Amino acid sequence: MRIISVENLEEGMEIGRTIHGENGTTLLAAGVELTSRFINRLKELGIASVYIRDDAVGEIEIDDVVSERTRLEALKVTKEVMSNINLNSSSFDIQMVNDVVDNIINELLANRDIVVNVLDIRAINDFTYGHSVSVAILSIITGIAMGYDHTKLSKLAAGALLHDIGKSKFPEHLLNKVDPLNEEEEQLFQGHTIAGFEILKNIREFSLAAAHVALQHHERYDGTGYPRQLKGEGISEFARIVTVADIYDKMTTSIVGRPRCMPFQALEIIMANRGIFLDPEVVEHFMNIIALFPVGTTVLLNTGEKAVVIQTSRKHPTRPEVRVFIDRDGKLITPPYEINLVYSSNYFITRVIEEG
Amino acid sequence: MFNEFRQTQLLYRVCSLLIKAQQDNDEVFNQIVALLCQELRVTGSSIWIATHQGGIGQQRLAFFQAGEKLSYSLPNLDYQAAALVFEQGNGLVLHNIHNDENFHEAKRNDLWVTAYPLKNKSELIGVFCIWDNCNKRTHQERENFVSLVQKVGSELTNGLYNYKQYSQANHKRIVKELETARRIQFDLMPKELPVLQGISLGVRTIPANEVGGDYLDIFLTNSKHLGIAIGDVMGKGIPAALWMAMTKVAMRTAAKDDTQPHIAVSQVNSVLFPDLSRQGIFVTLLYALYDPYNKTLLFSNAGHLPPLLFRSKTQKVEPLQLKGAYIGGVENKIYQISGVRLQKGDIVLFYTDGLIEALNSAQKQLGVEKVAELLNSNALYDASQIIDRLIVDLGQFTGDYHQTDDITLAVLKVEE
Repeated sequence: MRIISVENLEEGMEIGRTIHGENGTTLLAAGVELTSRFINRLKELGIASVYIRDDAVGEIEIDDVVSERTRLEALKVTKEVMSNINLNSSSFDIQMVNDVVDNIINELLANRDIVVNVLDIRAINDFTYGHSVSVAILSIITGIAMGYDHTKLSKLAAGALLHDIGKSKFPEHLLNKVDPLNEEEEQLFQGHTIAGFEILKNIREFSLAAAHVALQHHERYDGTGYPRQLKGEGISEFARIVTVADIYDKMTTSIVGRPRCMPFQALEIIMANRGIFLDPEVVEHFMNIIALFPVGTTVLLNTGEKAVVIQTSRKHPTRPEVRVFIDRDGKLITPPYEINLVYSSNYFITRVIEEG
Repeated sequence: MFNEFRQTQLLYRVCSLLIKAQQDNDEVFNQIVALLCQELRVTGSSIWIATHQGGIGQQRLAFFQAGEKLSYSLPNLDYQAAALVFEQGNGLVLHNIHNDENFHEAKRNDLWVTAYPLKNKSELIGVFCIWDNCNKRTHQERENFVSLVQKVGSELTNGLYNYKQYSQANHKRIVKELETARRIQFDLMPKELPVLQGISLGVRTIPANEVGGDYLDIFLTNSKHLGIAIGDVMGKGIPAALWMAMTKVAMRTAAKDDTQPHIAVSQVNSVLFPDLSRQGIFVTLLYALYDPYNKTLLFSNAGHLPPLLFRSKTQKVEPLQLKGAYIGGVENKIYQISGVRLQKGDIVLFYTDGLIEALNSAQKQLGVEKVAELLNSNALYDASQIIDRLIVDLGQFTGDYHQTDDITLAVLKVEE
């Protein structure tokens, strides 16, 4: 199994991991053999790359930080909450949110030293619900790294999951607009922060600290954000965490008009912005929870061999365990062999092979 | 001017030298042209050999120019004369070459050239050129002279042919030896890094396919300070590898007793200068000495690229500028010293030009600004991880494009 960019997919290849749509429905199930129709559909959906079963590489266990069931459940709840708000209801079932958030936290707390090493594969139109769930997961892991207890994690998670709830009130045609927003539209768009806060603060039992995430997740550390141009510690810590998670998730998934970054590239941009747009302390924790090279990434080694990342560790982000499957002359190695780059200092990765 | 006996004597000496050339000793050809210039009292002489890399080309095997100062470049004229012969396949005897459209550079009207094609059967394998001042000799003398050049030329043809046969047979062996040289050179790079409290260290060399001249050494001095030396020998191949090894030894010797960087670099220059200057080779060398107790980095620089300092506090990258001549450039040069105090989180990147001059397929260089940017955006990792990350960024930039230069980098990060 390995990650292959959609441009390089060929008929007859087999999907390695199920691809879900924004409702949590199955777009393409694991094991499905690709036809040209499927490939075109993936392109239409704006999916950049997918996991493919590759006999040359063999089986690789891909262990997401949260189980597929919990993720899908969270997706369902988020969609339900946000579309209900959309129908001019001003309230939602807080218990539903709390339950799903607790499930995620419990699963994450069960693992120590969690590293996100799975590429989030989403359709381009799934920029709200799938995004919300991912931001919640990334925020919780960051919170754990920062030493948060369960109560604090729950508030952070609820705020993160619903940070974009104000977008429910935002005209859909503008959300899907490809061209840059004009000034008026931009004003309207920026209003989603205040709108979200208004919704959340009026819900009893929803923590005010969590509601502030919706209000402040577009503030910037240096005071150049919106809506209030808050600065540094003036922005709530929850919001400072969610801002980093939000930006990272947006950069690593396709958005209309902009190709996605690979995790290591997105992390570089995040690091370059520490102390500028982003809280440097949060960034320091965040960089440790993301695997630079997700499992399934094809890399070129200094020996000229090609390998697939099969295991990552938090302590040695630049030195994953890899399975070497193509030799320096481009011939398949059968059977492939594995190297842990932590213990083999003569080997190093010279680049990521995006083209698959 | 030159009696029969002396002609024979000269030919004999040329032939005996040529026998040596069969042992793949191309230095012999330099001896031959020098001998001819001295004995015939001519301005210059050269021997060219035909190469077949990608069409017919020419390579100068030997060149000698008598002492007199000229207002033009004889090597350039010589190249043009040989090129004409290679192109046309015929000999060339030109008086007053400044009148010839092929030789604009010659501003004197008294220079004449005899360029003799060295042909084995019908194959042109080389060219033999003699340059002289035509005012020195009578017409008759010149006629004699041409006939002597022909005699020497026919000996050279045989010698060159044998040399060529031999060097082709040797080519395989040379490739193998170059491979060994490359490995030896790689082994000269630091493997085990010194361990020092409070800092992290990382180094990496990506050798080009040819033997390059990058040099890097990291060691602890007697009082447990950290010495980092980085340099680049100009040129490639075995000589570069040899000079790299020499530089390493000279540097280690100079730095042993906690010598201040500028004194150490000056000493390296004094030791290597005579041989380097004779061979016209330069070495860039930067030596930095880090004192972990008060976190100061002292350095001296002999023409190497300035290291980049990332300041954790300001998140800005600045080059550690300090000018100084190449090693081998100026005799008894006294180098300067400079220093900075480092703080927690600060990073110093030492590198060779292969890094910033790395090309992608669009022939764009990575550039020092991009390197500075990458240093900032990877500053939170430790030194060895920063190296790993820079290498991937470099690879992402260059793609599959083949790099012709070694790339060497070393990172020092103050961790506490």
